[in-house]
Amino acid sequence: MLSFSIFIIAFIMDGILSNFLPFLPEDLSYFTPLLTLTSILLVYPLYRKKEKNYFITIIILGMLYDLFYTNLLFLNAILFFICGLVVKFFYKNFGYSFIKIIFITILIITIYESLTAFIILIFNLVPISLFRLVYKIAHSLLLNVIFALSSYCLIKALPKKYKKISIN
Amino acid sequence: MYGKKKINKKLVIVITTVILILLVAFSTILSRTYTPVESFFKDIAVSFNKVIMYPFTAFSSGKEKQNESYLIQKNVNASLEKEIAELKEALDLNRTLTEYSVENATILSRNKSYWFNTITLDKGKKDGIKENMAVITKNGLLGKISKVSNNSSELKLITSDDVNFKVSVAVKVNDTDNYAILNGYDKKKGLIKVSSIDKSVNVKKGDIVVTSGLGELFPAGIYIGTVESEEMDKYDLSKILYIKTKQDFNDIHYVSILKEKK
Repeated sequence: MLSFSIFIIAFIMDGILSNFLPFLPEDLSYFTPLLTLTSILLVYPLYRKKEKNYFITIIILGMLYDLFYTNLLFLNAILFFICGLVVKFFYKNFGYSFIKIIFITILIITIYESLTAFIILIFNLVPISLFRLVYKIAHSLLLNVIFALSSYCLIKALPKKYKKISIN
Repeated sequence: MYGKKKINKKLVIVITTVILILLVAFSTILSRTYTPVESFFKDIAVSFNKVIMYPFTAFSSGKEKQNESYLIQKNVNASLEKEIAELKEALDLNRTLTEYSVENATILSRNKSYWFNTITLDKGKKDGIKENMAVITKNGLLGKISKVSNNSSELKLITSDDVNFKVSVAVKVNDTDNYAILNGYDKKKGLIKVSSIDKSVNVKKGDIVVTSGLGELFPAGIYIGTVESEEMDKYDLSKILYIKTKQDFNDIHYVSILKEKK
């Protein structure tokens, strides 16, 4: 239930915020939201013993994201799945803490944006440069790190009955 | 037995990878239209999006929307019909603004993929919207419809980097039209790029750029912007113009789609 609440809030906030923040190339806001992507790293510990459900959920979430916000059909479903695998690897090897949440959020956003740019570069005619990729990543960090940290603290502070497995 | 299992596992990985690559390739094709299944789910998503965005769009000034709509209608309907008739005769044009009706639409969401510069509108096939229709605001040309489902459509902005999205434009220099191609957006300057204008044409800052009507995509005479600066192309054969538009692309909530009258 808690994981679904995080997904829904992040998903809706993503849509609302992106409608009101500057979105033109070279004019992006430092608060460019990728909250849905950030939410998939936040909820992993809540699914720790039901990994299959976690991956099914994030694939569905990716498809909804494509349907609502990108019109790219399967792209985000696949990217969310790959990011889920990275989150799983990170959590199993390093666990989560306040500092590690910042690191994994930056890592996931970098992987997601780099893969998106790489795929668009291969299959499309949109000119992509390293400068623009770095620009996009840099402008996507602030808000999402704040969201990740605040959600992490909130989840940690909740009584255990709301979480199946607590975040260490 | 073990070897067979290992081969099967490898085969599954290879097949899965190939399927994923094909899916990604299919998803990202820019000229792709909605499949019927995708269109169905897109319409459901749009209905949800309308509900979510309602508090934000409803509280935007309704008066502003009416005024904008009025201005666009006025622009379209009363755009010097006599002159247009003369222009049509002179240029043998069949597609001018008077032959279009306006369908007002609200922006539902912006495409979150930074690279595409597209926007989802709340009007679709059931409102008579078709692909490649021109989309304008009171400040001029905004882009074209790239995809349509029953209840929504996707608007591709003229700031898009898609190399397939080119618009034939006319630069008005001393009352003569000089044809060129709008083909992109200079991100650093924040100006629209117009190329292939003859280097002998003496373009001045402030000259008006409109759609030419050539290429059968957009009607003639839609305002795009004014010339801000110019430079020679890399082969020194033609000029590249940088156009300043009146549009604030980051602050658009209502648009008008030009529908051809039957």
